[in-house]
Amino acid sequence: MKTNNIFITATAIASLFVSCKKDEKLDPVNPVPINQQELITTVKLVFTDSANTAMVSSFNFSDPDGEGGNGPVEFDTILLNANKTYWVSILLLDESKTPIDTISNEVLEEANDHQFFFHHTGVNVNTTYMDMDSNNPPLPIGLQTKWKSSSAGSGTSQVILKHQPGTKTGSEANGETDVDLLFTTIVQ
Amino acid sequence: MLKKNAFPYSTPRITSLVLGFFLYIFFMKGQNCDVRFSGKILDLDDNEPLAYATLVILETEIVSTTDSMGIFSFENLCPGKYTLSIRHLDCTDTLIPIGLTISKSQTFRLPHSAVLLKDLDVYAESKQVKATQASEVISGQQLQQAQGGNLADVTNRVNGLTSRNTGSTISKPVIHGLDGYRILILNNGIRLEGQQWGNEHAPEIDPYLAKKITVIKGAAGVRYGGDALAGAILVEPEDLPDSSSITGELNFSGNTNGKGGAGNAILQGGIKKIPGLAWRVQGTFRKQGNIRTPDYYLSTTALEEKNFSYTVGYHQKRWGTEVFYSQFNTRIGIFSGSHIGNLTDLNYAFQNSIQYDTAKFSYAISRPFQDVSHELVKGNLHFHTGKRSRVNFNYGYQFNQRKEFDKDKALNDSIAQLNLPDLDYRIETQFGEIIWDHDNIRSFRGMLGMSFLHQENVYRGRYFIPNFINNTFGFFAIERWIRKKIEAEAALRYDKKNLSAYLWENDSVIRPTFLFEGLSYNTGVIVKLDSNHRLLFNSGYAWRSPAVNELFSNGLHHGAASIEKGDRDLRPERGFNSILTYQLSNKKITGEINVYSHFLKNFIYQEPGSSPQLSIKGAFPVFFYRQCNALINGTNISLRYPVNDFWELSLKGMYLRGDNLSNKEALIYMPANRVSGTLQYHLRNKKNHKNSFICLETNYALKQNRVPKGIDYKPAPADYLLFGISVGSQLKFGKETISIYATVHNLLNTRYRDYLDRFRYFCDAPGRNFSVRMHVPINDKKNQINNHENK
Repeated sequence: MKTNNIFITATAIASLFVSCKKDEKLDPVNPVPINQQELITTVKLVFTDSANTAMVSSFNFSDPDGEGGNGPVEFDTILLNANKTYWVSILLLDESKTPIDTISNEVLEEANDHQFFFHHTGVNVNTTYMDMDSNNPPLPIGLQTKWKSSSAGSGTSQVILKHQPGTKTGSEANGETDVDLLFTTIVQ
Repeated sequence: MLKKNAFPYSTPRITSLVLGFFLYIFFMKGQNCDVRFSGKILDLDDNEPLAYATLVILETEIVSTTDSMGIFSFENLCPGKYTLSIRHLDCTDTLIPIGLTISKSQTFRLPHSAVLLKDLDVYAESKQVKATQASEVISGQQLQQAQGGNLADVTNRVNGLTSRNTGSTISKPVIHGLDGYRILILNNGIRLEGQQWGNEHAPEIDPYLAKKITVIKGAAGVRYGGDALAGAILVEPEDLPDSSSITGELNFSGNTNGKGGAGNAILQGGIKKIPGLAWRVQGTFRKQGNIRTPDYYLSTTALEEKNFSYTVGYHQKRWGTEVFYSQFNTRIGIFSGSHIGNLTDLNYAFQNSIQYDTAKFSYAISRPFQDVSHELVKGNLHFHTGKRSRVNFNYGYQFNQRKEFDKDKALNDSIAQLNLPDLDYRIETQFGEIIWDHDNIRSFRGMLGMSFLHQENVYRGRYFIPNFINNTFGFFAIERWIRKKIEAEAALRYDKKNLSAYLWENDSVIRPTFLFEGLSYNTGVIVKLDSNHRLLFNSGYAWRSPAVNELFSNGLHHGAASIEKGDRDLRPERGFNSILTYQLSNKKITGEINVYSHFLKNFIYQEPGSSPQLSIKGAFPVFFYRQCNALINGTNISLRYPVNDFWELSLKGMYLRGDNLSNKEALIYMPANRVSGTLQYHLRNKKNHKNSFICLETNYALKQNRVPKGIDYKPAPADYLLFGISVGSQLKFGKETISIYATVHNLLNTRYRDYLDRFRYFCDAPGRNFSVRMHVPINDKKNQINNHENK
């Protein structure tokens, strides 16, 4: 009797563990077409001539399937005029979604954890931040910047976006890289 | 003991289970321990007495040896259920369940490779014969000391085995420098089919399931189905009990580093009214917080694991059936400092040996982490087709789901809210086999079998490997010729594999298909030079088809900051290997030497490409799957030398050399050579304790100097020397014997990094760790007596 009771009790306790839930069944023959995860597929650098705000040009990078897979389909050369000042705003898009998701809005929402960094090599361009976050003291974001070109030349401009949750100090070394693009830049 | 506050996250279910066990122990009654168990061991073939056979009652670790007439005896045993292990140099080690109520005498007849039982109403199931490859069994006290961690923590104790680690919580066993698909892991006889395609994918198995873990070093593919070019790891539970008495065990382990612990319970028994019916339930809970290196905590390195299994079996004289179900669930945090955005980040990570991400202690498992669950159902049906032969039908169903969560949630709130894993892979495997096996018919013992495997893989989220359907069919034959002084084995297998992948390419689904087929074989001899010396030689050939990730992977590995690309034109990898083993065992010294050579044709490995691939996160190095001819040679030596009754010295050493014959360079990621030694002091057995010991351990790993030039991100780490101390004892509390082990790993809190640890790029290996393990048997003596009297 005792044996049976214990057996029943043990089985009852053990059956409480059974819980391998399987969510939606996927068919191997029909692979899921879209990655539901967020991708940054596109970076647009929108340049506005400070002397003539009607002069707007955009230089883009686009890799519709994200990292890995196929390579980028668009990687523009930044063409600037010498001795000019440009207002630059950066647009990050996820074009793999419908409607297109504007990731740069999310970056602005989490401005305290994000910062863009710019490095120009071989070209006479200077970049200054035009936006600040609400950290104390405030730190730059970089979605809005001012680019000042001087003499003509050609080289590269590196645009980096760092995600630094809790570690944003203005240093580039911290955190994880979300964007890192090396544009060819020509000042003419 | 397990205190509730030691497991603040333990679920009420587990608490109630544990509580139930304690109540149960409390109500048990004692009895007289004056049972004598004696008998005779005879050779089945010629009825000659077998002298110097060693008999061990595993539960009490009492040892007896047969005299020249083959007679043995055990005194002062408590009534109960025991497992008797019989070992004779000419025979395979055999475990026999025995039930003792009153003193009795019994005769056992041993054929050369198996035990047939007389006078016992238990039919020995097909026991595994001693492999002609080098093999090692971990069981009893040795296993109890190693459980509480992951599988590789246990198998690392075997000479010649190392592990490929991703930090201290994710480890994959490595046999003679080879790992992954090349090692088969068998969970209760069914080959584990999880997602072995990543270096950071640990085998989905609970070491507490096992009563015995057997490691076969060398090609073992014939019996277990292709692929096993490097070896096999068999995780085997105990046979189901043969009486209705309820027995079981409780195991606990606790660690200071990570402030973690594990609790395990096993209960088993039968039902009095249905003789032949037996059952077992087993459950494990494991939890651990952030690991600490000698200098700092590693953020998000906590883990939680919940596993359980049950078995029900029904055995009659001529047939039997068994159903086994197991579930493994783990959630493992990945050191956030290793989760990298791009190569520049990787360089920052390398330069900063102390991370920006270093954290405080916490049990929280936060991003990045893995969530893996694995389910196995196994059904077995067997019939005795004669006195010495059986036919077995095995069916196994496995479901494995691996979810990986990246370091950062999506920026878009609506996507972030879904909290979907970034990688989500599910694989379903159905496996069936029919095996007919026979014990000694004349001098032959062997088996014939066929197997079928059907596998479906699907994914959601980020692409890494495609959906696929895999069908494999194989049949095999193994025969062994057994004489007193010599055993010879020949084995042959044929496999045919059909693989169809389904993936998107240029906006449409393509369906490449592959067909692989081929033979594998194995031959071996065991020569018993005399009762103290044994020579084993094994030579085999095995092949494996390229795996889906090797053919199709195309994705970014965050931890490695590299893009991995498969090659659809890969050809099967073919391994020829030979291993010679010399075993010595006499009163003074026991030892073993393995010398092995693996030649791998079309060895599949990763090689960095010449130009990086551009992405929005910068340029990533691209690693391509390539093939080369490789040669791995090595030797393992182990020695045990009892200086006197109290002191014992043991030494182990492994040497391995891997060469890429195609480009005349060293093979990448081969384990560094190492030696280890222990000095053990055995205390005299007393009334209240026995088998007590103090052991000083030391491990020395050399620097891996043989690395290919200019490929690795960082040079191989320096050599390291570690010390440890362990103490153990079997303590008697009234009628109960509780085994307790305490160990200090990395006693001197040495800073070190191991070449095969992927985290060596980022952080030190764990610092000093103090751990305690406890094993409490549960014996239902009262029920046992009743049960036997009723019979």
